[in-house]
Amino acid sequence: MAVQKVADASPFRISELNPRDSISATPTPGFRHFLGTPTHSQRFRAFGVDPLASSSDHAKLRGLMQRLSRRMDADIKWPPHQVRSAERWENPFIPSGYTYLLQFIAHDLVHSAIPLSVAGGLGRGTSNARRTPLRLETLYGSGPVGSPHIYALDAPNDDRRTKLRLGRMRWKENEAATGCPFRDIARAQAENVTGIDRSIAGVRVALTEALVADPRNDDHAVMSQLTALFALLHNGLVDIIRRHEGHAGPNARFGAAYKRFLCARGALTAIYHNIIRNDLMRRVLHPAIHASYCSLGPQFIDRAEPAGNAASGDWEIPLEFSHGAFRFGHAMVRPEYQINDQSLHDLNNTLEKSSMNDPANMPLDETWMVQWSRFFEIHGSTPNFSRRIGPHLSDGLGNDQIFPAFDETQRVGLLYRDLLGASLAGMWSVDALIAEIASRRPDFIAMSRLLSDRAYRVEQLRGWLVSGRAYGALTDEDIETLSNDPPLPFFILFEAMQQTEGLRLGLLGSIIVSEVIFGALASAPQSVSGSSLADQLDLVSREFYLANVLQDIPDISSMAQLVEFTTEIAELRQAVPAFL
Amino acid sequence: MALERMQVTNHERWGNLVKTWSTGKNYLDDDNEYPIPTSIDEFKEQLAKAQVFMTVPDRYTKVQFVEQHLDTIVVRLPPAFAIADSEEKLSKPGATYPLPPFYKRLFNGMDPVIPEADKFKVHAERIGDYTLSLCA
Repeated sequence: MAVQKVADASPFRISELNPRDSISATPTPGFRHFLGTPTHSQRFRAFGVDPLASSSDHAKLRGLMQRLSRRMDADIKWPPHQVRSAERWENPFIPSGYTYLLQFIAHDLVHSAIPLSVAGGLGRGTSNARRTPLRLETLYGSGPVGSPHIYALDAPNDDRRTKLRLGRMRWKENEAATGCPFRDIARAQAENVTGIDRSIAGVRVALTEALVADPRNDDHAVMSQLTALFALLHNGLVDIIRRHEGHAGPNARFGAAYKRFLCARGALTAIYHNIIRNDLMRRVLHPAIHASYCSLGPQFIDRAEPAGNAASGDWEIPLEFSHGAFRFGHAMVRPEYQINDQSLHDLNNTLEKSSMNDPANMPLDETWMVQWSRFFEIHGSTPNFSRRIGPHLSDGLGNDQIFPAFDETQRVGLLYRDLLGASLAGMWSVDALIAEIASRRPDFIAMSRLLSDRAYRVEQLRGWLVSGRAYGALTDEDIETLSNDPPLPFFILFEAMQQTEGLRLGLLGSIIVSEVIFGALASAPQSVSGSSLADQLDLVSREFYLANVLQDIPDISSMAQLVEFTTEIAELRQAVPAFL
Repeated sequence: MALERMQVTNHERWGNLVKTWSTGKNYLDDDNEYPIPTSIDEFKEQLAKAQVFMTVPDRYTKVQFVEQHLDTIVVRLPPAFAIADSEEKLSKPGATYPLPPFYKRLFNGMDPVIPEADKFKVHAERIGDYTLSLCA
């Protein structure tokens, strides 16, 4: 989801847990706090009460977050920008493909079984299972041995699997046929012991199972198409490597396949890191913060040696990132997408298109085959632009079938979940977080009046909250508590709107995102900032082969270059529907 | 530039809001008041209160409510520009006539397929239908 979810496994997997039960103050496995665990006085409060200390006040907290989410329903009156072809709410500097690359990255950083908002507190299924960050576990799972269902057979008579499975697309007016191209993720039908069958008898078989490592990568049509794009690139890299292999004897074939898989995975991971560092982060971060962290040997303030924990598989994600800053991607989701030259789909249709929600209409038909020049700027194309980042989400994210109400507020939609989850996570208050960062990097905080001048910050927040009072019916008491102690995900969006006119993150959002993303990148040995992609690929190759089998791979530093290279190696330049 | 259209996210809530305006009885099953809006801002505020999540393009600055009576035929003429815009969209190869998602439920869960040859026929039929229908 949208970047639909960061820590949420699925909006449909709502537990039967009683959300009123005990509230833990200790982060659960896989989670920690940014800059260390805040003390009681440093934590977020609503009406002066720490939600972790008093679960009896949660009804008031829920009411407050419901009213704040309703205030955020009001459209933002964005100033005009210089790109005339763009609507005011659009961000011509961030094409929409990056919205979903952010979601893919979120899946590669966080994987928990139940949304914190629905669980009602830390613990009980909210732990983060992703313990090595940004290693493409979201694509590769546990590899061909641990996750064989997502890999295609290399040969009919043995267990070698090196390519990721893909599935054939469908033509809308025809049934699925063997001749259709492999443009969708792999999907399968499965008989259920419960007797539930979502097929349409005699007409259409329900493909209820997405054969992907991470079920969230089939959250919606654009997400599964992005996953298919990465799978196509992986499979093309396998072909490139295979061309350089000698003939292995029967007994060596398994080892050869394993080396081939690991080399392709290493190459794709290096490319992925190069894009995150040089393309994605450059677009979404405040330029001064990006420059500071993209430099050689950045000075991390969160953890002095971020590499240590990640290398040992004991990495933990800060809640202030997963449930705070990184939720900004939800604000970038558009109300509709021009998927390809022929088809325009609204967000509701887009969110519905998954094996879980719409199995009888799977595989995806030609109207959902993403033409990537519509999602990234390629050779002067005009892609779908993401939304400007601010305290407002596209209406489709209020869909009551996908994000139903789950508590007494009867509030539907993703936004309330984001706000409530953050409020229950025991996170730093915005004030305390700014003070802590200022003690470590005063130069960062000095760059922003919104951060350095508390009175100004409170006044700006109050002014915005008061201005749309008809939405949410915020009381004077609500406005007082929210302007003095805003929930972090709301403040990150407000800061982006106020500081950058919604074109990228503000200072605080950029600092939190940089610490986590660049910290995770720093923990990858072959992905050290400063070395070229060619050097990194050389290192990857020589780990498995005597020669550099990856030497023909061009410099790929952007998603546009990744798409172009994939088009070439997967022979999709003349594809119908168009791929590029 | 193509015409931006209104988009309804939660159709059942939208229908219940219309029923509430028509009858004065709250069909939303909440504690809010829903008097018939007198401005576009009030209209949007009520959409938000009812959690309809309707996207209303900026070009709309006014809202008009037409109360129908059983003895009067009300023919709501769509703007000529809107017809031309949708005809242009439908003329593109591969373009399909968009139907709200709840239609799928009526088609046993299958995405309704309007054959290429029929799309202008369906376009005309739909315009005729919702221009004249009593909506109740």
